[in-house]
Amino acid sequence: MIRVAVLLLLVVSPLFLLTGCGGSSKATPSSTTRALAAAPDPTCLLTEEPAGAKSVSEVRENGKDGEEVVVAGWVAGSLEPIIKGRAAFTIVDLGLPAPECTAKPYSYCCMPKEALLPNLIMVKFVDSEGKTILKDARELLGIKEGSIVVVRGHIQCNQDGTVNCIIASALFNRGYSEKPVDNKALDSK
Amino acid sequence: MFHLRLLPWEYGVRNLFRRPGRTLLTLGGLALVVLLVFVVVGFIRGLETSLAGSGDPRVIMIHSLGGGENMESSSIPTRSLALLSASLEGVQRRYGVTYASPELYLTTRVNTEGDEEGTLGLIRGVTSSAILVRRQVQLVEGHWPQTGEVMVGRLAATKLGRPAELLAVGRSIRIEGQNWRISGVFAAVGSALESEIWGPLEEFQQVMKRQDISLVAITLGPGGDFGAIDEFCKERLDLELQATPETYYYKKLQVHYRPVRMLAWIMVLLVGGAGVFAGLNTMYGNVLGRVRELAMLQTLGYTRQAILVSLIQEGALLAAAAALLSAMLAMTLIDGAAIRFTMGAFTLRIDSTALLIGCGVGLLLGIIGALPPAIRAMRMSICESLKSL
Repeated sequence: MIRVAVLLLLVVSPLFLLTGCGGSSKATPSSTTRALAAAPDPTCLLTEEPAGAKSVSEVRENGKDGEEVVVAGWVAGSLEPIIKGRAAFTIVDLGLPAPECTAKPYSYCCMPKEALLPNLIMVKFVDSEGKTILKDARELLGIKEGSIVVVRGHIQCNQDGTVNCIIASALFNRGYSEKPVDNKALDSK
Repeated sequence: MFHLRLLPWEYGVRNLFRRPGRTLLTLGGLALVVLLVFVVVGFIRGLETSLAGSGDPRVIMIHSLGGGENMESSSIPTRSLALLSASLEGVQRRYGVTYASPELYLTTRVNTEGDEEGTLGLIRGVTSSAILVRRQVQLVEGHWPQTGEVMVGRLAATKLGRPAELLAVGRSIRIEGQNWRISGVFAAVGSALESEIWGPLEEFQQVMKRQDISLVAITLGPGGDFGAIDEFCKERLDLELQATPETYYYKKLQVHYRPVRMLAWIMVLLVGGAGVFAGLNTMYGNVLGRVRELAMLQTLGYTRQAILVSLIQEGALLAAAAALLSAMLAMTLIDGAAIRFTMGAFTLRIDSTALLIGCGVGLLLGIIGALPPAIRAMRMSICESLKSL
């Protein structure tokens, strides 16, 4: 038995080299911190789609500071159009064709910014102090990348009058779409 | 198994010394195979460590919209620094200093002394605030670059494919038609920054006739989060900015090198497989040459299992010695060797993971290599074995 033990010791001896070799140890986050899926907040959601939705490009071009608007758009514009941990996201004009060059068309990663920017706008939900709600839009609104949404809110402009974003009061979720152009017809109803 | 009457421990050890030539050849073969495994695993670990260590989780890079894939093509106005410093919340600030580093990053031709042809090098124009944001950077020799000076990363010479002496402190290099004296050498814990050449931002802008910068790197303060920076950039569409966490940027680069890593792992398997077959061949010759001896041991009363354990002991002993020898060679000769690749340079790393894989492969070679010939020898009848020549 001693000989077997010595043999085993010999076999594992090279592994002793591993002790103190300075390998980096990484702390892993506790699995108990896993976030639970929350249901969307009904106060932020519309049960019926509001009429008279404008396009994103129209709002970007002609919007005035404080103007009440209803805008329809595709949750898209970058690889992560929904800002992590915040009730804020970007939407793209439903008339802007999704690029074919990528497996994630909502990212518009291969579209020149000159073409994308006039068709892009940020939407955010704010609290009573005017600060962005610190809750992920996926949880708060039940949306995801590629969702087509109709947003009701008012326009916020920059000092020079450039449309910055839409401060939303409520949102209607039409659902997910891979090709927003195909849904443009729905926009006119 | 523990009730077996095993062969004496010394028997297996002495057997190795009975045929020193064959033992040395087997040891050499096994050591070579394990060394090859160390080289390949060291390559993979070096590449992974270089890219993984290059991102600081507190650093956010703000660049032009769509420039996240290739930072060299990014261009933002120099005034962005003041605007971002004033507007962004959650940025580290201390004693009135904002931890924001404006940087010009590009690839351009670099000529060392006596080198007319030149080669492409990674250049980063920085201000003194770079040292606040790039926490991993340490000046290991010389001083911070002043007017007409640059400092070089520890692996800049490897990236340029030139001898390290040509990039020593006090030597000169030519960038964009102007001579720059090397004022210092910096290290950056093995990150991609070590392949770069750093110089004064404003001077680089003048020489390269550029008024823009490539990016602003900022450090998040306590309580600061990426979401706030991302929201600012997505809201201020007129600025055409985009924020990317530094860790995310290098993680995406890692994806580009996934095929290389896959190929390297396949090489480990192939080298290991070839080693197993070579070991099998040697062990077959070794064991089958001792058929009469093994039959004699059975005649003396030792069971087949006991003889099998003794043969595995010999193989494991030899493999362990080969693994230790290779590990020693790898740690002295391979660890730290610089390798040049597209986005810079990195060093081969024989770390704990590499040692575990290398030694594990070595031991497996010894044990797996010894098993089949030993089993075959044990299947022969004692009478036939005793009569065999």
